[in-house]
Amino acid sequence: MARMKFLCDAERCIECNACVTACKNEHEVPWGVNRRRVVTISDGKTGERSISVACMHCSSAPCMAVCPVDCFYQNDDGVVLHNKDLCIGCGYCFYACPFGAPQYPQQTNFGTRGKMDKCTFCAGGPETDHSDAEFKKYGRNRIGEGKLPLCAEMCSTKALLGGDGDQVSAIYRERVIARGFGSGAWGWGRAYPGGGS
Amino acid sequence: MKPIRPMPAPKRSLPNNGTVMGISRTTIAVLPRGLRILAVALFGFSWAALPSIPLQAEERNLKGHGGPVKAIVVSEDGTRALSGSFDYSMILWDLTPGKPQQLHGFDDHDGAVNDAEFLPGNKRAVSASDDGTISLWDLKTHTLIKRFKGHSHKVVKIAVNQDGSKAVSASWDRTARIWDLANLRPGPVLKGHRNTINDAAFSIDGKHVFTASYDGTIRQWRTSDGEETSQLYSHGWGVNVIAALPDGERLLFGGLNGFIGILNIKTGKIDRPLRPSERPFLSLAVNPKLNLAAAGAGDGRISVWDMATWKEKFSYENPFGPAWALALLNDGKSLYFGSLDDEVILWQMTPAKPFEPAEGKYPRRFQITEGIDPGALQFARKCSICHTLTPDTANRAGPSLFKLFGRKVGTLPGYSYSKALTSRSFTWTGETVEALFAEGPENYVPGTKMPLQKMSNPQERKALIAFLKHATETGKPANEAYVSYEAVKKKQKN
Repeated sequence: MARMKFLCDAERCIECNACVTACKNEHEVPWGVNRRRVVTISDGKTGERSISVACMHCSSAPCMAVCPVDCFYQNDDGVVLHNKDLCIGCGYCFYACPFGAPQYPQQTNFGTRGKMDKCTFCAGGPETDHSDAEFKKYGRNRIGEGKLPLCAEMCSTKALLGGDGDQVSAIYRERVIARGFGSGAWGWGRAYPGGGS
Repeated sequence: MKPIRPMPAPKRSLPNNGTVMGISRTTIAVLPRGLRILAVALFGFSWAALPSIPLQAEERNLKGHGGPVKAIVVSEDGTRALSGSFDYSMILWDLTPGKPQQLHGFDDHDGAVNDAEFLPGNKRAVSASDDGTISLWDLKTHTLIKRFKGHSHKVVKIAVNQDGSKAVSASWDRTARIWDLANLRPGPVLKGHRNTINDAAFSIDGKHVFTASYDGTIRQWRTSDGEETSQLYSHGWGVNVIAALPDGERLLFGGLNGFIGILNIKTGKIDRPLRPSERPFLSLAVNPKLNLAAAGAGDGRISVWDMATWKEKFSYENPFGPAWALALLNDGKSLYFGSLDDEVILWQMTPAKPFEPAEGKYPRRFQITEGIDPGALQFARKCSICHTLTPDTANRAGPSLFKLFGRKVGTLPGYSYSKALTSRSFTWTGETVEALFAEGPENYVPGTKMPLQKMSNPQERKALIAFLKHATETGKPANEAYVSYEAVKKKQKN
């Protein structure tokens, strides 16, 4: 069984935001929510870098550890998913996540508590695969269709890689050797300490 | 109002010479706790009668909340504290020497209390809640003075200026709002951030407000009219926490990427980065009298710096969860923090003590993952954060489930129900509980305080209801109910 992981090679990201747009469009993500975003640090200065960020589907996910109502689960591919029916919108995962992945819609059905939304690695959710309910709550289940996340597929510079962790890290290693320097895989060590499964 | 736990017995003082039957207080104090209790029993005065004996750190924990603590603040004079919790309440504490006492619980919010702040003089306080409101409280009469409404999403932070005339709230509706506490009126709305605002602080002179947002920026606003005067800093990663430093010229801020540093307000540049964390920074505390600043992170790390040199003086790692909230005590030796526990925990910074594991508390009741019946597991993981099975509600956000089946909706004495429930007349049965979770509380009883939560799996609902039918009759605490339910099921099988 593959262990799905994301890697963003900051040496290649050109801040085109195609990943953000592809995700938003593919999953019809509600207003106020971006499951993926591009963060630019040292904007306009020497050393400027951009990094495409979403849920990294961490090996030991801090969101899972703090959720008071057990709405997270990890599937057989290591993808961290959540059950929106159970989520009570407490926001604990928002603060616990080192990638700022959990998002909350601005318009909610009742009061001010909304259901958390985040990247699913295009793997849907706990509803029946490819059902309307699954699409409405979690977006398209591309993994169930044998495809990889659209954000990585759409990346024009292949800065964003998504797929089996071993293959993704092998590609990155090749790049590092070819260009002679690395350090661009921001967050990899944080999400998958020790290359964790 | 929810019932507040009974106050401990009144304290009695020891003889002036500090000895009891020739044994000094100090001697008693250094005995292990069991022997101290025995000594107290032998000498014929209550355990509470040892106010001047140094209390163990755990005895100084603030116990009274029924859910994880998200806010803790200590008054400027160090005699009072306020805590806010997932249990929808704010509690006022007496920190005068001796064991901390719960003075009052304020539970009029319809959502978790995320932050609280004293007004100068400790006569009033403000609280900010998940329900999108800010409450101004009279701490002497324990009454609500004013409920400020305007935000359309949860309010996560509240700050008060030095003379207590204004407050500023930070909300996930992407605005901050200034409130006129003197005239009880809403003030300017600070609009401009492109994502949730996580924190807000007044400048030391009160003329400006600083806001920190998930959009990665720190912005400065004029307090008088709410105009944005500058985008002070673009961090890229979301900024979670911000505090004005006493020199009036710098800000301390922490980000979701684990960065923490000192920002110069005039230059808009980082004067000094501090030791980063692997997890987001979630809490800050600044005590000008002690010249100390503290920060807490998502991995439970707490660091305390001397603001004269910015050398890290103390550090601690809470192994059981994030440090949501921090408050430095005026003794300069200890700090309160809030995490996933239902209590505010005291960390004695100096003299440093070896780590003492808190027995029996971990995993937390909602972190159990195996080893109990599937129905019991549903309760533990999804319900126990807000409900007990015993007659005591334990100040949790929801009412006790003891004797639930057959109870008319919204009728448990002492629990502050929403009108949505008190106006209904149905009775809780297996069928109505099933319907509640199949349809979701917001559909089954529109307007309820109960969060939006459905259990879409019929087998899980069935298992939960079967467990509840047993456990809500026994009146036993959850851990005992899990065991007794196993025994009942085993008997049924045989």
